[in-house]
Amino acid sequence: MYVVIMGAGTVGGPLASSLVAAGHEVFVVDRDPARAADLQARLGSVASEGDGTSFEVLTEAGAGRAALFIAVTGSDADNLVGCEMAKGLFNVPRTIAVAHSPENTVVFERSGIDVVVSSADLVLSHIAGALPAHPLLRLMPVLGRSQVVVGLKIPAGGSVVSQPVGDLSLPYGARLILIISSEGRTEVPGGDTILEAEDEIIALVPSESAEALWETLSELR
Amino acid sequence: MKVIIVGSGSRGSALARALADKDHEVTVVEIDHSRLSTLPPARVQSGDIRTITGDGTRAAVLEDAGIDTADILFCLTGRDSVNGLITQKARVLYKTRSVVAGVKDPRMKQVLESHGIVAVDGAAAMTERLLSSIPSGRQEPEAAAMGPAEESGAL
Repeated sequence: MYVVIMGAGTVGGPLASSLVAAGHEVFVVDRDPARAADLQARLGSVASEGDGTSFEVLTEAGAGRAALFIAVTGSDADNLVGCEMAKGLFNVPRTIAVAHSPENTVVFERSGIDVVVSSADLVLSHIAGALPAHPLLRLMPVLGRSQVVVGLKIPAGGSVVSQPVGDLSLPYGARLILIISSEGRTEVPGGDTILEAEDEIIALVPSESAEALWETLSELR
Repeated sequence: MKVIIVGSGSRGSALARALADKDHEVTVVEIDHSRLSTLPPARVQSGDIRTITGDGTRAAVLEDAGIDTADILFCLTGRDSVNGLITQKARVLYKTRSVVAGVKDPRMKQVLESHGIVAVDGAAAMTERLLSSIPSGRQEPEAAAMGPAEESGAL
């Protein structure tokens, strides 16, 4: 597969290396001459200096035959417009972009970018997962962000411990998908599944009700 | 009309001056405070042109500038992609009626227009075209013939 990557920084560089190692054909452009030269030194002629929002640069990069365009520069503006150029002028079938500012995520999605990676959300969810408390982990937005897959843990002494799932008063639309016990057993919960302390729960919930679900399942007795 | 102009370079400041002369409510957003000096000082002092120093790609800055009630947003920073991001953000997040992006690259103009953005190039031609399409400040904004936002259906 031929992949054009825009941005040779901390993400673009390693991404290019791993795609090359997996046998893909890759070309990387970066506005910064030093970063482009650095990647060129490591990967050879598959990297060059250039602005991925420029028609000429994209033409030279062979965007017209790319199966995938990935925008991972440090600039949200460049990532958005680069993908729009790739799709609109070169008919690249699939575009992926990083949005650094969470407020831009929805703008990227509405522009037709196929996969939008929100870097702030990723960092936050990883940090939250490392906290000693039992936080709400927003794992994956779905259905245009109207719903979200979340992970959370039932605390010892929680009010829902020893209760059957069917008796819980969960927020409207919330679905428990999977229960992972502290011993690592997994179970798709039914109405009579009994919750235990330290169970990890994966759930699908309307975005605005995620906190309410967390409060219900984390409440202490 | 309430007009926001992001970018106080030669295009932005010329447009700000011309619109203030037509009695429009003008707010100029500029990331580099020193570039606000390109605006006519008397107009700024009298409040005919309101200025905000800040990054126009940020929602908080656009909100300070009054994006919620603006009739038209012009993005005339020196970088085409920044103008493309801000105008699309205004359309998606604030449903701004008319948005106009200054672009140098004609191919990018084509792409932004396919996303329902009015894109213009060439400073002189632009100011002229913009001014001819905007009525004076005392009239209703409906009379403006800029960027039919919803009809294009590109978003």
